[in-house]
Amino acid sequence: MLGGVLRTAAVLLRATPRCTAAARLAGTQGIDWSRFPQLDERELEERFVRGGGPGGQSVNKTANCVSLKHIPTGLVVKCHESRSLEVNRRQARHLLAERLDRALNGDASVAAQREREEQLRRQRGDLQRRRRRDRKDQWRRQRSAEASSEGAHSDRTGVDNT
Amino acid sequence: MQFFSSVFSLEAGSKVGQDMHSLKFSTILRKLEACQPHPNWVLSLVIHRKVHAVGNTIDELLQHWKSVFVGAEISEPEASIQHLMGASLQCSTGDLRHMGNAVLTAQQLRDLERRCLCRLQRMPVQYIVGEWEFCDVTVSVRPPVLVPRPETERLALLAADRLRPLAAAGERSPRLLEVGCGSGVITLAVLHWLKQVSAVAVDPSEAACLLTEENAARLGVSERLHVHRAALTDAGLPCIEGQRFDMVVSNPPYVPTADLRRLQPEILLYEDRAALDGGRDGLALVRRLLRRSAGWLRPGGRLLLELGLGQPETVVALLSEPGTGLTRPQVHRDFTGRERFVEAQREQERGREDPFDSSVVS
Repeated sequence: MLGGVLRTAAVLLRATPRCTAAARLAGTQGIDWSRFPQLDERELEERFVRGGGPGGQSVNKTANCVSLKHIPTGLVVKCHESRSLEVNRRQARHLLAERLDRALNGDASVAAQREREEQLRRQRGDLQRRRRRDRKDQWRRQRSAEASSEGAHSDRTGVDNT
Repeated sequence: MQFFSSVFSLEAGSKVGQDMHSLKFSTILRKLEACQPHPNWVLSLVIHRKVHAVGNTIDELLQHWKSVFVGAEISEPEASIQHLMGASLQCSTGDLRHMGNAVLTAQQLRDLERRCLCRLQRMPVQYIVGEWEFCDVTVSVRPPVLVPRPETERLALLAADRLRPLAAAGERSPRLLEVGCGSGVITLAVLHWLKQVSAVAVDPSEAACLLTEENAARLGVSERLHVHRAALTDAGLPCIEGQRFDMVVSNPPYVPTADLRRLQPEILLYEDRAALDGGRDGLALVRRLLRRSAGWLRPGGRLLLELGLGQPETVVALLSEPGTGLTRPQVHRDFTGRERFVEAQREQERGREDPFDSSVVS
């Protein structure tokens, strides 16, 4: 009986938009990007750690560090995650925009919105787990009640037969 | 720590530093010399180990090897050990920051030491790691094929930028020719970004051709790339006779011969000198490219070149002379803000389209 309940629940869960990847995407589309800062290159100052000298073929250095400063606010981010300089330049811009978003928009920032969404999702998950656990406990209690009543019944028939 | 274990008869994983203090300096030196290590770094290694206890955590090893590299006058000592450690642990250098107290296994220690010994022999970090990122692609790198330089990333971005409208228009598949492909990074980055582009890459080095093909397979773009082993001579490139391209891109050897001897040991000892030597003024290959490119390009097709400092000005002057078939020269800067790249377009004249008449433009 419980198996049937679980199977139905599973089917329902799969079908529910809340739980599919599409739903997750739909969730993120609920995030307000309108305040997310657009970086103006003219307001940025970029610095690189590079070997001295002519560069290019004449130099073999791992130079991949980027330091990006937002001049109006003085915010600086450094990035050397990737071994590619251009990837780090791109990543530095993402990071800077995110930091600016936090600094300027606080609770309305994209990161804060994402955190709230994640919290909601976790709470929903917790709720589902609790419900599942309650159903299981209920079934166990039912089973043990049935078992004890059946046992009592067979005792009586045994007595009757002998 | 196999090497040190054998020298000091220590069990793997024990704290080397503590035992070092109990040995006399002369004894240590004698034992090390018996193993015939590189003389340059022995002293710095010994002195450092005598003074500092070295454990097996990431932070301790980073600090230790950085000091060794500094003592041996290895360039980029801190970045070097970061990259080598990342390679040994198969993680990014960023991850290392959060793992400072993690202890390396005996195997990881051996692996790290092997890499560090290579670095002490001035092997470029990229060769020791065996692979490197170039824009959004990861490629294998192997001596003596030239290690991709960070400046060249912008060349690849420019090339993709110019080909993108053609690719989007969708009328036909844009064709790219790279002369002197090396490890293949420029072409491979473009093929990775623009799925409609097909390319031909040539290089006189067998090792470079093999590496480019290997990297193409690694990136899943082999079907759109033909690699030819060919040198650009005064006769041009016979292997692409009759073919036309929307773009010719090249990072040709551009270092003047006389400047070669001043380069870092990393370059001189491990990288293919033929990939660097541009002749007396560094422009020998560039001149050949300027003579030949219009014959390879469709009308309106572009030539994109990476050059050495001071050369873009000369090249623009060469392009203004009649007869190259190339027009509208532009100069682009690299990430340091210095003039590094030249772009030119093939003239739109119909008359030059005869595929058997490439000698007209030479």
